[in-house]
Amino acid sequence: MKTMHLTEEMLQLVAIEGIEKHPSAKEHLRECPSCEAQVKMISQMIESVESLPAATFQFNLTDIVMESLPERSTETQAKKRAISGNLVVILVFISALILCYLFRKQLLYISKIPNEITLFLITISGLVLLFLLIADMVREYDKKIEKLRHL
Amino acid sequence: MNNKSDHLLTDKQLVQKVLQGDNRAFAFIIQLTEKLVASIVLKLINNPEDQKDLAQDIYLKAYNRLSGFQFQSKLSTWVAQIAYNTCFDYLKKKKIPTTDLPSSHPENGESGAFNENFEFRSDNSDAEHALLTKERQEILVTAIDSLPPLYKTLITLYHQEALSYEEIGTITNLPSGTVKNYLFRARKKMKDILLLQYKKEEL
Repeated sequence: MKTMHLTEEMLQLVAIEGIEKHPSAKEHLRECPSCEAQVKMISQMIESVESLPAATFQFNLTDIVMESLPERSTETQAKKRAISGNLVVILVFISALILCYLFRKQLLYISKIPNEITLFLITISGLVLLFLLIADMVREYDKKIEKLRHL
Repeated sequence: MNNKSDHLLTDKQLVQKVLQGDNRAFAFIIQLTEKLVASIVLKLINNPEDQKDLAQDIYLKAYNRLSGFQFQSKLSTWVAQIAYNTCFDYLKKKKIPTTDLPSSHPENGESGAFNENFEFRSDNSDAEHALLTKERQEILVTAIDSLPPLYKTLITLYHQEALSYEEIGTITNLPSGTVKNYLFRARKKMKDILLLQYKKEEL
């Protein structure tokens, strides 16, 4: 009889996967009642664990979760929000240009700008910069809100 | 189409429906994953009130993060991962050790030290057999409960939920090799606890 016993890993592997997958352990197990008893115990233990009743919550999880779900902005709502945002930007842009055209003489006088073309170019550039800044602020705000939702 | 892609398609359809605002699809996701989540939460958390709060928290997190789900694993595995992380964060906050607890029982390090007299007793009488089975289950549940939280989770996921090493690795954020190694240790620890319990009963 061999004096070296099977390792714990081998005992477990034989118990889980069966002796046929580990022929090297077969001969030892035939001669070693200690290791054979351990394999038997491990396989019985695993069998018992597998037959334990499944864990279940003692409350209605679906009801509890569904009651507390936050409102989700759907894709359609997001599209509507984007369209209305763009419309507002276009309206403000056109109104600013009209106002600029109507009060061009006063603006030229106040700002000391030499001609109307330069005045319009400066106004358009200023408006574009302003809208880009606002768009960036909105994007940052959305990112922060999304991060907060993930916490 | 194979089973795997069938499963992915179902997960995708469910996620898309939820993202389009269909909350009934999310209720279906809860029903699909509840058993797996329960096996994690109930094994790790003892307080019933905390179990309730954490279970709710897990699904709220899943709902809020659903748009970021990349379909790199099954939806159930992803939800189980959230459950595992939420429970472990809770245990860390409560300063409960998650891997190695100081052992109150002697370790049977050498396999030769095994008590050869140990055997699960069998009986022919039905009533006695039922009693013994119940008693055996209670001892087993106590043995599992005495394991560190990580070992408890691994034993449950592998032997009760029949998940693969890879799936357990995804849930617990551990490499498959480590999962396998920890499972060996967990079974060894459980075996030692059971042996000690039976020895006590024999005395």
